[in-house]
Amino acid sequence: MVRQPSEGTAENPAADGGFRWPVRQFSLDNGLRVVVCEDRTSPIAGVNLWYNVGSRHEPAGKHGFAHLFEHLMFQGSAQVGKTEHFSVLQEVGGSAINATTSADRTNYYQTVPSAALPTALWLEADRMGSLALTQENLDNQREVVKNERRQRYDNVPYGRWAEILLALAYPEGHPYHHSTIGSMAELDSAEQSDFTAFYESYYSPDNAVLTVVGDADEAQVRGLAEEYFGALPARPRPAAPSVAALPAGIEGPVHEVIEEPVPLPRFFFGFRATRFGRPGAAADEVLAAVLGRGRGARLFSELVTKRELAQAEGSYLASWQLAWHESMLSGMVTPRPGVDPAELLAAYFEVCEQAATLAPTGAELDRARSMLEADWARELSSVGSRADQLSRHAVLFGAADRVRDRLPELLSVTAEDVRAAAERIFTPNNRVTLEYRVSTASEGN
Amino acid sequence: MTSPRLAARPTAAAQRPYVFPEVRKLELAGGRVVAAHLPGQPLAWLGVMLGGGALAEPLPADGAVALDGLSRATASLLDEGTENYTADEFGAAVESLGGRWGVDSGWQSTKVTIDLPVSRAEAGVGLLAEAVRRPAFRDVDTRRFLSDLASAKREQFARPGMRAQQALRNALYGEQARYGRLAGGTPESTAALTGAAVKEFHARWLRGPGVLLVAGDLDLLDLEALAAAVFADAATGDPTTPDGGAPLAERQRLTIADRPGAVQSTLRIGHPVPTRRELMAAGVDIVALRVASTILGGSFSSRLNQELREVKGYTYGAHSSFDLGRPQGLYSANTEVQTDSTAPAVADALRIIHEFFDGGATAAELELTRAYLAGATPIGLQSPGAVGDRLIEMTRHDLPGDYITTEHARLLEVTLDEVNEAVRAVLRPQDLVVAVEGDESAFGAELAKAAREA
Repeated sequence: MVRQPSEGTAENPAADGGFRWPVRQFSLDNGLRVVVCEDRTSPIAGVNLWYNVGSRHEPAGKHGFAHLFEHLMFQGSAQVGKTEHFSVLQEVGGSAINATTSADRTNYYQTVPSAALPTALWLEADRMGSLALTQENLDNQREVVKNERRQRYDNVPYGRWAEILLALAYPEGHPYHHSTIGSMAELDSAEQSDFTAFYESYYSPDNAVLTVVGDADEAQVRGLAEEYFGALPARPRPAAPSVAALPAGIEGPVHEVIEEPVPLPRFFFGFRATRFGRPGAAADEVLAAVLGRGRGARLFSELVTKRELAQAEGSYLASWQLAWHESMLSGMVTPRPGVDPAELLAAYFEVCEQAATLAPTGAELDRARSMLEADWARELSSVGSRADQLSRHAVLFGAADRVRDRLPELLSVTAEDVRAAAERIFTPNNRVTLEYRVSTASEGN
Repeated sequence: MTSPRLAARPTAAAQRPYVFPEVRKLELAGGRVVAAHLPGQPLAWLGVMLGGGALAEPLPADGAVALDGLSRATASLLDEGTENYTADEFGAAVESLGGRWGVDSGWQSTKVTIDLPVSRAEAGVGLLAEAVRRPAFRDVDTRRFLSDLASAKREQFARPGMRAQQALRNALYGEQARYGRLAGGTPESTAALTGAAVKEFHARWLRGPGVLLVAGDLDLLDLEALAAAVFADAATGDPTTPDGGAPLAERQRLTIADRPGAVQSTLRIGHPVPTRRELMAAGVDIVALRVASTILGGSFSSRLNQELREVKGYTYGAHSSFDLGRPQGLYSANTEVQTDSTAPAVADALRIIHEFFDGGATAAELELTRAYLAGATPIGLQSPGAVGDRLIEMTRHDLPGDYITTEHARLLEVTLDEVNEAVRAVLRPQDLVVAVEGDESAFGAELAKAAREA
């Protein structure tokens, strides 16, 4: 039982694409799309609502409003008091209750005992139809969001790296130029009317997908969706401003240096990459795994083990999977004590650029495929994250069933596809480098 | 916008009863096996629980730096090169199975786990056995790993949290005691670790058989073969790690880790509590305490989060919990608050804890929390890893295989008096120590007053 594993190959995905449950989808007259995935394993149901709105919709001067609005969605509605949202769910046994906002979308989710499915759908419908947008709620949640910003961005070393990288990688005015958390100053200028307009524009049934996964069937969910969401009217939305396609490469190289009182010097990188769901995107993801993810990745063995230039990390490259405009691969690397940062920087780019001529070996590709396949099984193993994937595919491709293509697409990426992706992505003019240098000053922020 | 027609709130039907997966406790191939059966589950979780832990670390020679963090470093080095694999080969082998490797080393035990597709379990347990029984600790790997660990520690300590936690432990147990410091060590102690110390620690503490833990589809897993792989080459018997010392009799009320320029303060407010076994022996109802803990600080609707986040807007979140682990438990409330709210947030947190002790939970809070926890059990146990964590708890505290099912049933009948009795038996507001990591110049005297007066 020793030394057999690395010979294994990724198994051929079954005809169901590693997604072994039925998927049903229908629409209500008001345009709400509903997805149902029946799974009787446990008496629970995951409920997920994707609203097709994110920070990419924010106009100038209102950055961070989509995310602040997400907080307001938990502050009550016509039949739900200010602090009641969580308790209504908890008193029927619901948990895993939360929401997230990204550049692309806003998702709301909860998992409930299946007996409480009506309550979860009623609650989502009540806030979709009658949110309590009060000054008190706005003032309080603005403070919560400012503390979220402090906790995640401003009070931690390197906390602003992603925000700075986006601003360098996307031109001013592009929907992905700004971070989702937004700026303190712009949040301070937020008025109630901003949120009324935002709500009316985007929180409409025809701009959302409702997914239920678990101990429920199509007929039951259809009945409940009609009952709770059926009377909510569709509303017009402003036309999305047209955004010109970006060139295939960042017009770089860009190299920005920041001096802050960080504990160690560190580099962050951004490379323009393929939009999620477009041809080539799967190859970008496999490329990131082959080169940059895990203990067996090329960047790890070259920079950490062989040359001893870099600190060990779990990930040196990651795919952002942005879906509405050109996406990004980001990278990071930290020099070991005594290593010249410039030497590490050159070595990092060397390994990346070599991939344009050095296609992955069979073993390298097997490793990446096995990781991606197991990731997918883990992602689908809870009803909540499975519902999120179904909502995502319904919003982006119009059909939740497209979720079955996800794993086969990743597993069908060939060594040549990966090599070609590296050739496309790892050119000097397609990269942004953000270099943190250690300052000893105490006021860095 | 015209008002849409809204449907009336439905009444929820009763939740279905919950039964934890069947647990088998076996003696196989000369070792103990605890396995949970998850029929149809495509993923499996395998773990080996060994001895060691931070309390097993050697006492420093006079004048030498204590080797805090040695236990965790040794556990993390098990897969950095073995007899049959280089460090890179081993990592690639785990990943080529779709495996996720996990290492956790606490005060008195060490856990090494792999989570992977069930079809790869036999190969996965082979790797687990290879790491646990045949680590190589080659100088080149150990030197590289320990250097990285020291840098990672520096970074960890530059982030808010570790120094607050360190200050709390120092204040509760005294920094002379191993238990009064951090299990994972500090930048200084980690920098003092050596390959020789790692080898010695491994030989002394981690060579025993330990316990094999399995969560997965037991119709597909051959427990006998898994056990044979893991227990081959094990030494006889697992050495017992000593307990930590008693808490200091005289404790300061407030301790500060200064972090000039911080825009938030990290609060850790806590006091020691007995372990789960000690509480059970003393007749404290563990389920009632869990309900109480959830009401005070264990969910979004908890008193602490509602007041500090939703009413005051001081923080992105606040919570508290009772850790009933061995060798000694800890009640602690944790939050990060904006710097200029540090003193009022401490005052509010202490007030909320005092009020909870004095007045107890309400009937409405009990019913809300009962339903919430009853629902949360199956929702929280969907993955093999989550079931695996319960197997670890079961093994550490020597609990029966059906304890989750029993506690779930108990939850449905616990009364308000029982909940409040548990609060009064375990929570000790007058003994709370307030540890703050933040910009001392911004809150100094005001904070001292808030901590003193509560």
